Amino acid sequence: MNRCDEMLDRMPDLALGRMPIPADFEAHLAGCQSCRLNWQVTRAGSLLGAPAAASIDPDRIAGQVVARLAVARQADRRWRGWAWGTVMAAAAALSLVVYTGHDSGTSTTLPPVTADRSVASFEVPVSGLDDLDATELQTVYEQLDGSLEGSATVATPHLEELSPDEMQQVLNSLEG
Amino acid sequence: MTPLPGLTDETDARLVQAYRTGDERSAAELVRRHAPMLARFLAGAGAFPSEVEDLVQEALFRAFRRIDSWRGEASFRSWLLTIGGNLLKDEHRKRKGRTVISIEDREIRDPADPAGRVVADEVADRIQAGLLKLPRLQREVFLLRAQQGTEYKDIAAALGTTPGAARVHFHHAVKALKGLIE
Repeated sequence: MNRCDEMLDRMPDLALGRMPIPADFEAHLAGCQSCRLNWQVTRAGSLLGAPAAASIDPDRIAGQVVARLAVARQADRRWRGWAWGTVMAAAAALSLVVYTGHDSGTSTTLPPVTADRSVASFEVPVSGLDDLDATELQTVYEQLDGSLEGSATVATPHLEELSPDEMQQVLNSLEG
Repeated sequence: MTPLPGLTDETDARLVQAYRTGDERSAAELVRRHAPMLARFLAGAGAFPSEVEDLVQEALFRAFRRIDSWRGEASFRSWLLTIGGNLLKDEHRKRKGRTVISIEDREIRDPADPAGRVVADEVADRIQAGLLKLPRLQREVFLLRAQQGTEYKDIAAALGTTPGAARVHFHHAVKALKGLIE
């Protein structure tokens, strides 16, 4: 480490007044242009932002920070309460599902879903619903409702009742 | 070297510990003792003068919200300055790098020495402008060392580097800034 580097390392403490300026320091600056410039830079750096420090009100900032921290802590508590409640509710729901499934001892078999021709053939104008007014929507709803009600009475055909042509149509439709 | 009165790391650590155990007055005390130096640091690093107080408040708020991440490797003061530096970086990013040089620094020169004041003003303005052009790490190391008087070891701990690297950054920063006043 050369002498100038050593001097530079000491300059901030000297510029900030943390150490008295030694005689050898001044003697070196007198004969070293590079260190004089370093000293100017370091001194200027030591003074940067001083007006900003004087312009703020630490007491006001302290009050604001403490108030914000109190609000944030309250929000944290609410969040923890909500998260805890959600976890508990999810755990309760899971327990219920596990318990009811385990208690029955048998698996639940849902009735098979069969295609109903009347429902399958009914076309709902879904794409145009946005354009309808309230009266038109009510009409569509009533048609839909009536059609579904009517479909409930239609007997579901069985495959063995189909003619060979009908059977072929079904197979074609399945094969796409 | 004489530490600034009432600003020892030991008392900072005690106050932080008290805050962690629920003493809000400790937080207020820490804010009061560190807000001015944080304001200086932010202004030196290119914060808008009109926004310095808000930035100081935000940096301190963030610091206390993540107080558990301060484990004493760096001093509390250096750790706060690092948070302030990150906050300022975020602000600059939001404004797409817009920076303004604080002209308020001109008011601190010695009125009894008008000639010296003009020269000092010029040097300070060039240094301040040049500082904003330095790489962020060099700028922060320069401010931590020259403005705050932080030791290389503490700078290294605060910025996640080594004391040797911090020293190199400081020397490079001074060399670059020196070129502006030659």
